[in-house]
Amino acid sequence: MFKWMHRQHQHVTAQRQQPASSQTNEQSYDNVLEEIQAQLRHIADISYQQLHPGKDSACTLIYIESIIDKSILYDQIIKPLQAAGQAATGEELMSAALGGSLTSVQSVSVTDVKHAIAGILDGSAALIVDNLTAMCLFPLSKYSQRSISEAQNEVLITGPQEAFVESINANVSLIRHKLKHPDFKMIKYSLGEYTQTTTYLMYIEGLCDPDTLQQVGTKLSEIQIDSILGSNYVAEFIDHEPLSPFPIIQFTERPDTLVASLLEGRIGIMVDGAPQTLIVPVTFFSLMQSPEDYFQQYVASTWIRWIRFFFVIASFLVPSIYIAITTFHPEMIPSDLLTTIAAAREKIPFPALAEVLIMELTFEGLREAGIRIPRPLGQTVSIIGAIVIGQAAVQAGVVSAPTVIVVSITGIASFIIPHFELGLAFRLLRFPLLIMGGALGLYGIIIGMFIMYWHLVTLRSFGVPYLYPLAPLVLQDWKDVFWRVRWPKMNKRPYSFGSNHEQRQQTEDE
Amino acid sequence: MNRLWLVSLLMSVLTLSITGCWSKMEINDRSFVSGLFIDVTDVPGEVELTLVTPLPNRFASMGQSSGTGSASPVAIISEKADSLPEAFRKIQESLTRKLTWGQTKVIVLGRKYAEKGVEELVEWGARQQSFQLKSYLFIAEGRAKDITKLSPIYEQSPSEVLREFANRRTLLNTRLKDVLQSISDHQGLAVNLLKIKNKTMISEPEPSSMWVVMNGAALLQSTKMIGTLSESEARGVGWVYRSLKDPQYTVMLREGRCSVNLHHQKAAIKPVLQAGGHLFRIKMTAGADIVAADTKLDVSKPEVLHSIEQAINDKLTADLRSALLKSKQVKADVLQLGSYLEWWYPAEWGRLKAMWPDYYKEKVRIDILSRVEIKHYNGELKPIWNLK
Repeated sequence: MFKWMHRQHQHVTAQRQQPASSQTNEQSYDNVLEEIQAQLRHIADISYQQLHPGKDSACTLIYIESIIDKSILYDQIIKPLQAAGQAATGEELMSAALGGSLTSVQSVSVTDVKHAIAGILDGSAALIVDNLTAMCLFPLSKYSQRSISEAQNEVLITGPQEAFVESINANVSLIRHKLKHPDFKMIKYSLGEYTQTTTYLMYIEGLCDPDTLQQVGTKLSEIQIDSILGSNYVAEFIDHEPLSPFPIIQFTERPDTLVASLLEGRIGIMVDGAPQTLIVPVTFFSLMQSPEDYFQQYVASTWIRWIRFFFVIASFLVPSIYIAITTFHPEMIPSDLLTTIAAAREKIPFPALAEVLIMELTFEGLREAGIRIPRPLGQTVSIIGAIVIGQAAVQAGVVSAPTVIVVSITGIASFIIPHFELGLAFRLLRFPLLIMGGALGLYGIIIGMFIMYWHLVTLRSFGVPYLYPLAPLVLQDWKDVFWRVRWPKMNKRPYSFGSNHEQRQQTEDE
Repeated sequence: MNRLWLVSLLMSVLTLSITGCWSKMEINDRSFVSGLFIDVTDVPGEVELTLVTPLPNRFASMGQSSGTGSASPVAIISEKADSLPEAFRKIQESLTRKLTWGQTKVIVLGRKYAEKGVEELVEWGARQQSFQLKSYLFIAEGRAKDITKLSPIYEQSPSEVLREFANRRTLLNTRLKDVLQSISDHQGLAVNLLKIKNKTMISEPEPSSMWVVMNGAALLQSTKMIGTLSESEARGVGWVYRSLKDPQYTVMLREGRCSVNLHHQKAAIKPVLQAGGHLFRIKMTAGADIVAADTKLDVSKPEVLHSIEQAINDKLTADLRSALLKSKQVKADVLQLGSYLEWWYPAEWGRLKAMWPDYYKEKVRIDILSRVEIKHYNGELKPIWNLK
């Protein structure tokens, strides 16, 4: 039966793999215009503008109105065409258009109908002279897009507030505003069969590792998929550790983060249509850094980093240690605290592990629901969450107050992690560790932590060890890990990502 | 790679069988014993075991209602049986929760029980892994069970009160494991002695409250109690045990008296081999702060200070000497001088070990030297009525 199902599946996918437009019936057309019209039939928003009908230089402009810059079209293309077409022949017109003497807009010559259609769909205007097969494309794309706004997911108090938007040109302009050096290179890829998404691979030549660059570039060019709708699609393709809960790719929607990473020797991938950019390679400690650390005083940012590390550990250890110690090792708790906890747990019907699991799952549900709550209801629902779940559950005797405290501390701690994907990893890891702690006590927690640590130590992100510079120990790079030294002291680039150029600043002895 | 994972998985699963961590028990299925009180009964050969366990459900209701409940927050349970484990079993059988040792802080022995010998307690306690050998040991002058009737005015349970007695370090803070150590060395030990007083406290609703004080120390030799020390003698011994914290001494001067607080006490013991009987030099040093100088003598003068120091030194030496004299009479090597001999002159100790208690009584000589220096005057230099 499985073989039969497999054969059916193969039949269906075989049919699906060929886009309809490539199954060309071998018809011949009188001219390219008819061929294009045949391929683009049933598309309502394509305009065919005929110029000089009846003359020798009769030509047609094909474009899609909604994605083209109409003022440039009318001023720079149609007007000169109308002026020139009065007297010239078709060939003269086409050669003028291709030669650049007709209009100030740059022209691209195409001979193949497929390329012409791709260009039209990409926001160019195609000029077809009726009797000729040569075609000319004028790139005039202008998509409507969101304006540059604040970063919503990476919020800072001080520092630049702008964030990427969906249009790749706007994003590149934000980057170019910050990086003005010829070594900043961008390689273009068009990914996705139906979406033809523009993707740029960005790096600074001389700072990044050529092997990593090659690896990433190869992976990008190997992507064969129907559509790329967001940067996560690309991320999952280049992710070489899909089974690890820890992210080996960093996402950011802030241009300053991207530029700082490029300057460290990392590689950025920008995908059209999504504001998140990918940055590879990544280490655990770079995911624990927030851009805010660099826009504040170094003492303050050091302190906040320590708080962050402490709460990261708290976010996945507190529930399991609470369960393990109260259930298996109560002699470790000081007497007064023990009496308080025991008093609070007197009438609770559930065992401690079940109680914590219920509260944790409720909290996760609340968190998810909170993302989708329509703004008018947000206030009400948060009150319901706090009062019903927190207060009333404790007073009704369904859960105990220490459990609520433990779960809230864990919840708050998990939001402290600046990068969402790492926070997600710890959120997920909390549950197995909780089960281990509830089943095997502190020994179970130690086993779980050991396995996790083992995994982290052997994990590599595009060749860079994940726990660099802690393991392997490279003390010269500790200036920016657990504390941040002042900018004048950060005069060398991190050793891991890049190649040769170590000196970041001009010091006196250079 | 696959094989590596499989082997690691197998090893991890195998180690699970040796953890012993499957004995999960909810916190509310346990009852934590906070104090242990042991007596002999009138029937010879029988012991009475009293356990003090805090009751979380009473704590819970007290937290909510916030009133002085008439119900006590601890449960005090007693049973008589032929041996301690039997008595323990009888108590456990009548309880709904499992008695757990993890939080035991205090063990009190009745005097008669201590004089009979604590072998059973030591054996039972040392053999159970979860029994807290670090719990403090006390001996009550009468019956240990009567101590549980004390009114814990500042604390919540009697065992908390006794634990704080030891924590405050006003006298001694001997633990059960010190007893184990002294037994294995065949030497003696001093343990706090508790005495019951009835006081009338105006703030309490009851007409008279039972108040427990530490009244000197009891001398243990190996497993039996064989003597007592008065309070000042016990302080001397406590000095050498380093269990005294900020003791205050009052001495009489040529005219008037002076009270001082001592800090940074040190006691150094060194044995010296001598033909007639070995000599042990005990040197006690400390710094002193004057608490009150109720005297017309000019305290700012060095001679007066020296005289105060001399008086204190004399008192300390006399206290310790009388303690040691008493311990020699009962053949209890309370300062563990035998251990010092063993450390410095092991061959000599090997020779004397078998007859050490007798040797200690007859032959050992002790030389006590005390050096106290007054370091601070505290608030004022001379008494305000003596400023001339």
